[in-house]
Amino acid sequence: MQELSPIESSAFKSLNEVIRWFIDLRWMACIGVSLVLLFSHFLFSFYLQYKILAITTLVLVLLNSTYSYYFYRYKKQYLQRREIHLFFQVQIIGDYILLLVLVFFSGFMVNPLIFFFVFHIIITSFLFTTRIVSLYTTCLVFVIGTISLLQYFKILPVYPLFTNNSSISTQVMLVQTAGFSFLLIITAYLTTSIINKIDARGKQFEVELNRYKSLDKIKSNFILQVTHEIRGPLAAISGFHEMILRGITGEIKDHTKEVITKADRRTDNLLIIIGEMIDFAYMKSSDDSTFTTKELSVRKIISENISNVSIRAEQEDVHLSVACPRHLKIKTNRDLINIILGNLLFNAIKYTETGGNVSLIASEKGHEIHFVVEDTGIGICDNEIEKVFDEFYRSRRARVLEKDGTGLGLSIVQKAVNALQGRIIVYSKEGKGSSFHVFLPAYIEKGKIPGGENAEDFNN
Amino acid sequence: MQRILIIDDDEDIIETVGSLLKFEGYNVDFATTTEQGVEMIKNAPPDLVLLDIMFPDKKTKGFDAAGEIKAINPNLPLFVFTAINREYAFDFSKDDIKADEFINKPVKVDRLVDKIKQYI
Repeated sequence: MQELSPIESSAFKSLNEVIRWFIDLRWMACIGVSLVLLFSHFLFSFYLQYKILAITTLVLVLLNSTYSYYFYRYKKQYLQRREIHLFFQVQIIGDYILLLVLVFFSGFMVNPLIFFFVFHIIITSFLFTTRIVSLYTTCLVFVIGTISLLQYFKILPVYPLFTNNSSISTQVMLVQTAGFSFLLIITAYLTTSIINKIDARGKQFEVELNRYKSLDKIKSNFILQVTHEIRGPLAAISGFHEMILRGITGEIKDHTKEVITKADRRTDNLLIIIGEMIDFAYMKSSDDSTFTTKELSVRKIISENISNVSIRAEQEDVHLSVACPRHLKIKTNRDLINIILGNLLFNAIKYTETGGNVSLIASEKGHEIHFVVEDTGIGICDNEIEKVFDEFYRSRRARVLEKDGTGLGLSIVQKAVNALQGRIIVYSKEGKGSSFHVFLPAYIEKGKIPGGENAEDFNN
Repeated sequence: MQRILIIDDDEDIIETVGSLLKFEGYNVDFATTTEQGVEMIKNAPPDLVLLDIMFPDKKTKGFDAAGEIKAINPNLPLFVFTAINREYAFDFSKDDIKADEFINKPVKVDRLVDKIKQYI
């Protein structure tokens, strides 16, 4: 027999959800049946087999309590597929039998509750394979057919729903049973074929997605390689510029110096762009094993990042300031936090005019470390502020101020912040400056994959 | 005069970084393969080593060489000098890479000299 496939079913995220859903539904059924019994007994005085019906309801309550007990007890444990299979089968068969008993003693075909079997068939088709659904449907049709026939031949008694309808003909009941059986078979057929189609499509989608992911990874690795190959020659060019500018190659004219300085500046910009592309490719090509964490001194991270941008700040004549409590610690991924702070600082300096200020402040806020990178730069206008984190987006003023740029910097920052389970908020006023607030958890065991935000923990 | 050994397969890097460091008053030696570099460290120990990571024959050859160099003299300051933007192109999280500093290529000579002065 084929395995049941509750987990693979597209309708549910996890097995726990299904079981919990089942148990909740059953509680609702218990309450519903009890209320109906009470109302009909005290208000309408129906002629019903109250004793048997009450016992059946009680059995349902007891069974559901048992299921619930096992569910919460074994929730955290790893169960074998076979055991899960069994647990489900027991629940389903139990429900079928109880519903059958309930309906049999309260009018059978006349009782509208009989339609709950349709509902049962639908749920069963969500959870089990077509073969099992067919088996259940066949058994059900056989059982109700047999009961109906036995009632027709007066072998089994009829328990009417109303006192005055004992006159209802068993012949009519027989016809109703046939119609109902037909309905059950059609339902089983339709739902299983729809579910099978959905599942097939889901599987196909998964295959496509994996193919796409692996292609994307190849592409990112390619970018990583290519950018590295470009970086080498650029490093040499930059070195030669510096040799000329320092006068190692001999006295140079002012104009030559000016031209070489410009060339060097463009080279530097190119290097920054390549740096961003490497960051971007890195974020995209990362997998589960990449983002390990480590306890780091916040002060040390900050000073490293400040020293990486200090020359640029000096060139642009932007004043840098830092504030950070001495003993602040963070357990996080080093590459990602460097990407966040490095990019934010670089942007702040790039878009701040000569004589402006850039500051980086870190502080502890509960279980989070709060970083603020603030500048007195060109700012971002209101209608652009929500787009700054988009890939390749560059604001109007940024394009005017700096010709070279990928528009990747902030999108990389956001991906890195997500990976570290933090959040980023930006405040900005055009012409006055911007401040980027990053809140990172002070302690994480592992960074998430930037693209995998939807990946849910099984037991949550 | 303090001697710095540059181990890099890119001769232009050797020329530029070498002459800039010379200009700053250091004595500069160079090697274009790690084998040659390790040999030079054995024969005439420099005061500091600048070591590239990626060599044509192996992507992470510099790391192997770093281990060998530190085995010869654990106190010899060793700077890893690479064109990869950040550390992550290699797995630094394992903590088994024996280097005192990681310098990104290209580096402005002032910054390099600042770092060098912290060691020698």
